[in-house]
Amino acid sequence: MDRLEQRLREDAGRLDAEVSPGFRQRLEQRLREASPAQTRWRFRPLLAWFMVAGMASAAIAFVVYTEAEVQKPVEMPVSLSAVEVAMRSARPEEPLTRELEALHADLDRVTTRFRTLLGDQRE
Amino acid sequence: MKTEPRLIEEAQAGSLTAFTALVEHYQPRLLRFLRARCGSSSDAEDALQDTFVNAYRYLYSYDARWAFSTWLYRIAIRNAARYSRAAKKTDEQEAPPGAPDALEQMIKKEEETNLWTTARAVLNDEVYTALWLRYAEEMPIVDVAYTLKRSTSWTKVNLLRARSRLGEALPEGDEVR
Repeated sequence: MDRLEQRLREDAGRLDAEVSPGFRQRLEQRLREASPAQTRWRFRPLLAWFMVAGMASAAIAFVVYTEAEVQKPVEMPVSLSAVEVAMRSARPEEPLTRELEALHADLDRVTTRFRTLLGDQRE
Repeated sequence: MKTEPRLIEEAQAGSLTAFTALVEHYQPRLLRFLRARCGSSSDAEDALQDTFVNAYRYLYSYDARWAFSTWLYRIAIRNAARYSRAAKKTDEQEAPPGAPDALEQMIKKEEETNLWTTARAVLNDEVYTALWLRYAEEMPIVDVAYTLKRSTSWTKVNLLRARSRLGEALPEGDEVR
């Protein structure tokens, strides 16, 4: 310890630390009024029991509900025929097929007409 | 006589008697510090009261890895800053002419000079606090840094600077210089 440190220590000790006359009473009064905060978690057996019981009943309720859901018959909201119709009308190649059929019919008609004309000329 | 850890344990369990014993032990040290930091003696006493009341209320949060004085000082510093700010505002609004400084008030009249008066004049609040904790309270550097929420290197550097500034501020013939 050097001389400065020693002086600082001594001078700090020389500072007056007397409190005013009513200080102690005021402090004691305030301390009595102040209740220590209790936010630290403490183990409480009854609370723990309620928590465990609550979690167990919630788990049981979940299992029972899930089982009941599994056993219910599946109801079809829409009939199968309606689905088929919907699927058919939704076929994207249908207009092209119709067009192809029309072309085939035209070709057949032209071929027949052509043959008829050729036959007329031979005669 | 009960040891400090035992008193803290009892106070944490709700014993006001045990806490009062702790108050008795720390009151003079904290009051000296607060008088130097606050604007007036009455502010220092109010800050001291708040420090003990806060400590009592939140005693559960005390971390025993650190010294109890370190924890108390952390609370005291917060309160000192609060009262200093309030005092500054009041001074700005209405400054009483020739109002005596709290630190000067408490230095006994028979003394000629006190190094802490000089330190108060040349150092800012934080560095003054660091110097007080290190040399008046004899706290280890690590504890000083923890109390001020600063790094150890910051504390070391500022203590060195404080000593240097204090030396420069002392009169020519002073033996400490």
